Amino acid sequence: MTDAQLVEQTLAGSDDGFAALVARHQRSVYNLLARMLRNPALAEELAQETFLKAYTHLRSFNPDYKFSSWILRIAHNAAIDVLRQRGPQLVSIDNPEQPEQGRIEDTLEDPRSDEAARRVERRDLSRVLGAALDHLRPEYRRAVILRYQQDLGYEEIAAITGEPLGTVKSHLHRARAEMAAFLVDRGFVQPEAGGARRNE
Amino acid sequence: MGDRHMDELGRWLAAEQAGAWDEADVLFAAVASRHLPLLQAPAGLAAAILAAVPRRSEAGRFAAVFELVGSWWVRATVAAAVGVLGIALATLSLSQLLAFSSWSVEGLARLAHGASAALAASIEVCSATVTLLVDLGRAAMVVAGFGAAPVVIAANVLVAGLAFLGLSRLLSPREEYC
Repeated sequence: MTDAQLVEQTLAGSDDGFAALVARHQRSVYNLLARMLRNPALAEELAQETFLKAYTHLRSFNPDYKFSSWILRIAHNAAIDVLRQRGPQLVSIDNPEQPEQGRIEDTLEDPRSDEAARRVERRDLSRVLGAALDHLRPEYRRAVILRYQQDLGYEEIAAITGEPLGTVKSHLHRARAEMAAFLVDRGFVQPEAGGARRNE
Repeated sequence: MGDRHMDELGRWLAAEQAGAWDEADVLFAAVASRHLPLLQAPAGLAAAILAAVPRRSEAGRFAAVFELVGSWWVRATVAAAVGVLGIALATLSLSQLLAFSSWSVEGLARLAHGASAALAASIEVCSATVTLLVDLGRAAMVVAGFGAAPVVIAANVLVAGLAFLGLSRLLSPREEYC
């Protein structure tokens, strides 16, 4: 059953229709909020708010658009409101809020710990990339999330964020460059032949 | 996680360094699909959302009441009334309270009388306004038959219509959701 059909079901009074929509999209909504805000508890709260807002405004949903884009746009706007209220100091990318991330970077920045570095390379590459993602500016981070995690096209991202297409492309390009620089700064280099390895 | 994944990472880093943006886009998409998975939603998130939905729906039916009670001036008035009542009960004697009640009833009666008088006056004003408008209409119909008056009236109606449309467009609420 498509999202549009589930929306119709919900508008006709079926609780199951909305339950299916929640089950289908809760992960992507939560992921966007948690990655943008870097605060799991707040992300959970805003995810609830997002779905409730979607529920109360369901009649204004245009079935010509994708429901996933619509709900991500609501979540994105909610996250932006929170980031604006917080102010720039509290979302400083130089001062990560997650203690786990600090631990990852301690490991990454110890050049003597070759064994630890290999362990990070082999077992925690996703964590390293997550740390690189968290170090991006919020507008770059959301572009990466929407493009590479939600697999959305440039036009869809532009519709969700309300930015021009060129800006979206520019954000993605700069975001990737910064993430690459993050990895290179911490010893990940591309060898002349073969895959990446950790610099000694 | 083996060398294949590090190779993928290495090719992406190389593409970024070489300025091959399109290739870097594709390679990073492959890296991200394997190593940047979506975060798991917390257990119970869906249940919490669905539990909240009926409450929100019920709240919608009485939204106006909740909104009224939720406004600060209503809460402040209720709090002040309770405070005054408590002070009155604590400080006034029974006879004073009875006298106060009697004054209150008398005051309310006057208020009701005043309200009915105001209502009657309003009806009179409305009636007079309707009469005036009817007279104006008759006069306009007579004047409209002569000279430039019809053109002036038509232009006036056109300007008024344009002003109405312009204001409606300016004041209409912005659509937030597509």
